[in-house]
Amino acid sequence: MEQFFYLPSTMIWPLAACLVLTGIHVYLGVHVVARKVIFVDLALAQIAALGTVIGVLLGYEVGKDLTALYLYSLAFTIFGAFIFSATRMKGERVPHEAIIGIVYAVTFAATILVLSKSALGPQELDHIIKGELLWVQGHVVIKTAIIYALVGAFHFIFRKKFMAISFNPEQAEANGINVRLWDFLFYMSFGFVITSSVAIAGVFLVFSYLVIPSVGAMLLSEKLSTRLAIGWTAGAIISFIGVKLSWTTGLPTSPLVVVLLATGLLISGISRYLKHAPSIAIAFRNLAGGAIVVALFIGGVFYFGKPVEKPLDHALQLLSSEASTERQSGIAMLASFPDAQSDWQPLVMKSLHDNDAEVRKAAIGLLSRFQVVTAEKEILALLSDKSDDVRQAVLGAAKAYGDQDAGTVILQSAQKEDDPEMKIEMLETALLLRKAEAIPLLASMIEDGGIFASDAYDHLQSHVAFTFSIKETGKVKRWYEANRQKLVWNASTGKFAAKEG
Amino acid sequence: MNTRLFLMITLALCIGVVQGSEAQTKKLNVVTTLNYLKYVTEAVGGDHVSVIALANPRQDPHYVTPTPRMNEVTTNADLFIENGLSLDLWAKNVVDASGNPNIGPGSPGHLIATINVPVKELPTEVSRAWGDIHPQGNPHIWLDPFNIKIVAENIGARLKELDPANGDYYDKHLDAFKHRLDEKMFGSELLDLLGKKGGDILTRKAKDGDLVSWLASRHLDSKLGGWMKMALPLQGKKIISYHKTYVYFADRFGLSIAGELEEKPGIPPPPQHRDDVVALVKREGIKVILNDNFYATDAADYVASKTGAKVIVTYLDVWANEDVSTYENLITYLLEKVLQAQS
Repeated sequence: MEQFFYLPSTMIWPLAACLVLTGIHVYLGVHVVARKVIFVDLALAQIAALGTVIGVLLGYEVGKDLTALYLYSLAFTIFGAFIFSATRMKGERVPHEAIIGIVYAVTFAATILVLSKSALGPQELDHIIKGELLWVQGHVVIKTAIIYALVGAFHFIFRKKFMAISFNPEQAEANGINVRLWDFLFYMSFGFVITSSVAIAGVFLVFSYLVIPSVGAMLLSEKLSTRLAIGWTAGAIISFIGVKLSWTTGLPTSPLVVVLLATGLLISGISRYLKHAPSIAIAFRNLAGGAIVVALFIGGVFYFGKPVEKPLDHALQLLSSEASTERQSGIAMLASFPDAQSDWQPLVMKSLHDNDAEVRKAAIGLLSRFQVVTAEKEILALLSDKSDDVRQAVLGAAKAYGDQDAGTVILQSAQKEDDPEMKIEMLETALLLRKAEAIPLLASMIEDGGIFASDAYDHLQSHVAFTFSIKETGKVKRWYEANRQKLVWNASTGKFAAKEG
Repeated sequence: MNTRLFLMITLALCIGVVQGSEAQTKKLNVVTTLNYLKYVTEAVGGDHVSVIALANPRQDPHYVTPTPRMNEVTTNADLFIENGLSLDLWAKNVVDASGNPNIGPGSPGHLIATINVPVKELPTEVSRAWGDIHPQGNPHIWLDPFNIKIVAENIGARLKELDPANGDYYDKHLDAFKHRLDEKMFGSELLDLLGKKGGDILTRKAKDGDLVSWLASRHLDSKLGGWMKMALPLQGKKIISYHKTYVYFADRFGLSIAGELEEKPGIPPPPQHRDDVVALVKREGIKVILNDNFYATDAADYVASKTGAKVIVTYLDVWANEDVSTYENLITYLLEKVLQAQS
């Protein structure tokens, strides 16, 4: 049991934020549902967002000028409250929901227009919708709780008036209440709450807290106080479960809470159905039938999922992709299929002539790794590739093949190479392929002087069993000329030595 | 008779002059998706190109809302250049809507600027979960100046193909631009010492991670200048970023990215991920959180408030701000910001 209630300290503030939201929104939700203005919060949230982006357009910065931007969004919200209270018509000639929908659509569009001219991109809209419950900080939750308590107290003091205008506006007007004024006060306090809530939790979580618990409670009870009690209790329990589950399953917090709230609604719907059904047996039969239909539907959805391709086929398919990086991925994946070499070899050989140097490099790597003999000549031809990465890969491949004939080709290329470092690498590769002819060429590079003389010296010295200093290149050349017929490569030391006798 | 001949010659000369001057003034109309591509194209194309970039440099390059103006400027384009790698996918809509047959995918008038670039984070393992967020690898290649040299080569080659008459001009400008970047990267003193192929050689050494040790072994370390010298104090330092935007930048300048604030782009992270990042920042003493200017800073602020790390709001593209009015300034700006926060 203790385990069940355990929550890591880092989740306390997101949970606290959820509870604060439950407290105010379940109450406001009762009004909103009674007034049939379900989407008013979406519209007000969007109006607040429009205020923020206009503030940004006028030079304030998100993350810096917090107060200024908040005041901008608040001012816009109050203006929105004015519109909604002014457009509530008697006799519902135009449904209020229509006005709300229009305001929502227009402010949304206006927000996009403003965003297209400002530093913020569509992320800002995304941010308003999704919210970031997880990043909420303690002081924000406390501040919000205090503001909401004040709004709550205001509504509690004038509860008779607020209830009257929401549940029975005609009667209220007959009793001498100024409906427009109190409507304005209602929407203003409502907008005030929405602005703060959306900043913490995002539009869709706020909307869910506003509507789902109230509707669920409506299904179960007629009495206002009971509805509130049910909404608050269920909202709090589901908030806890949501935050806890988000922690244990690693799913994002806000969307999980929304889905769980809907589950709660489903349960209350079913229990209402069972309570009011004429016969329990028939009710259960119908429920079972419904469950089967849902199960069949979901099963069908999964059954018709895309069948999984065979990994080899997938990799081969990638080789002919239009995106060059996918072709690289395909080649990399083929390394796991040495047995299917006959399937992939022709395609990979073709990739040696790809227009992307990285693909050519990958193809050289794969073919030389599996020592595909038929590819060797084509790989060596890439010694004249314009990409030095590819040329380096060819040298690596030549070493992997260990074919002495390749050494001859590399020696020829080295003599044409004008990049001194690359030339040294080529000559060293030739040495490793037992081409002693590279010795005088490296010695000449030492004689050329410059920064790369030392590199050439290091490499040459490490591959000849003959000690000399960097100034003694003449000595090495003479040693080479004297012994060229009897130089033998010692594979274990990696050095050329003159065979005795 | 003579008069007729004279007239004909005059006429022929006139036509020649007119054609000649047309060839002189007719610029290639180039449209690029991102602004860094515009910058590179102008550097390589010089007076022979007129370039328009579609994206707002302050906005997220993943998501750009096409406008009629974009279609209009693209209608007359001779060349359309995109980053590719699934970053500027919106480019396809613009190309389609322009109705310009010269810039369709695969035609000479369409260039994916990132071919030949060594792209990171390519899926290489065969797994059942094909679905990958960036199946074509991490697309933010341009924050590594070495990749910009490759992009410049690609653009130069394509300009030559479309406008062969000015081939030498483009070659000259390409070499000058690459040389300029090499000087910025390594300092001109070191570059001059190494001769004609110095830029290529130093680039290879840096890519292999051997640059600093090689310079030391050749007693050249005092000659190193430019960004590489600026970045010396950053070697091995760990940082956090919001999105995987700085992988190439970090790798080039020796930083190590210890983690990202978002786990998947556009999806709020699960709680453990958030707590893991906070724990990581504390454990490793990480001082820097890089947050692209177009992402909200809630997450970064949260981590900063728990750890004392510093949030740096960064720009990603050329011209996003007066501090980053050239590509070179963009790199300098990023390095300076990270250096300040590190110290």
